[in-house]
Amino acid sequence: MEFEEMRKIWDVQNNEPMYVVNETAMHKNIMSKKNRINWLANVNELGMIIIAVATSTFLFFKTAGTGNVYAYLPAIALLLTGVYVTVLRLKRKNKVNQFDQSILGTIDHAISNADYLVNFSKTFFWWYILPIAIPVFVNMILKGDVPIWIWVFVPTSFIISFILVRWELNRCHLPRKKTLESLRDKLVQEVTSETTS
Amino acid sequence: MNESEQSNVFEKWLKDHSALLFKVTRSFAFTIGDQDDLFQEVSIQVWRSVPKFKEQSAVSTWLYRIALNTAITWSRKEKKHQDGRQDIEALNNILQENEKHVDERLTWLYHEIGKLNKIDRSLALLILDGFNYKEMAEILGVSETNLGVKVHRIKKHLIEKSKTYNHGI
Repeated sequence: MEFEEMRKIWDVQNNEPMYVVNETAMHKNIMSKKNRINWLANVNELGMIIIAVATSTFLFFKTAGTGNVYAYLPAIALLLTGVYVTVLRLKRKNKVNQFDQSILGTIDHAISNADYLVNFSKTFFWWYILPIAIPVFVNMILKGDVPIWIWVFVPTSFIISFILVRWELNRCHLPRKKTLESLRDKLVQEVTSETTS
Repeated sequence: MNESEQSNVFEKWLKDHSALLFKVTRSFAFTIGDQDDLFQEVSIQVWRSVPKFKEQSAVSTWLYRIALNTAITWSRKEKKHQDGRQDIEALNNILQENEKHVDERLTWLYHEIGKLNKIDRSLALLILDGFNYKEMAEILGVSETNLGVKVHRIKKHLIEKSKTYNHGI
């Protein structure tokens, strides 16, 4: 067989698409991605709410009766953080009705949740680390006799939590969002080419 | 370039050159799940490349460069991340082979191309699509000097292999 004949066999692909898109499978794939992201958002929110409320309650009991008003600040900050995450969660849940049950509706919903997780991680410093770190440090300064290891341990904990959240953002949330957006582009492109052909 | 213009160019490229992207995908990924994965990756890179395209080369040359670079990088990564995902994805694959398009000789050709190393595989695609040496060198980022020998060797290899294949080639 000559090479030119191979080329002719090869060229047939240019006139007829080699693949077709299986929309049912695509819907299933997208549903599974949507459910996974929804689950991740639930875990992030509920985890954060439970940690904030539990730690806040513990700090309230520990501080009660000490007469130091500033010692209540970290507990209040944590409680407010828990409330803030609850509000975010309710807002996210209320968005569900905006999306229809079509493939595009499902993928838009998944992208919306992925976007939510990206923003959740991106703004973590402002709504979690900063409001908690400030009262914690103010309390430590006012207390005066804080051992040196606590001065090392507390900032290190904040830095590690910040690094972990950034890592999760770059390694999980952003790639997941990009994958969903490319799926959407592919789907839109398929629909466009089907309607124009 | 705004997002809407970028989308328009991207959609046009995909519409006009989807065969090119499918060829690269099929030559570098061998299960349908992996082909889905690689096609998505290539699509993302093509989308990102739209604003960088300065019309100094043909769109097909540009797309081949993007697609081959993505496929070579993807196959390096993929070797490190074989975690059983293929089996799961195979159940729900998005891309399905067009039944009208099943040609055993083409399947054989892809099989043989897939056995070549990554550079020879890339060259084989470009030879079959009729690119000249200058374009091949531009796409692969190599010098033209040794391309003639390589191209000749790949053609000879495929012709030799075809002698042992008994479905028309």
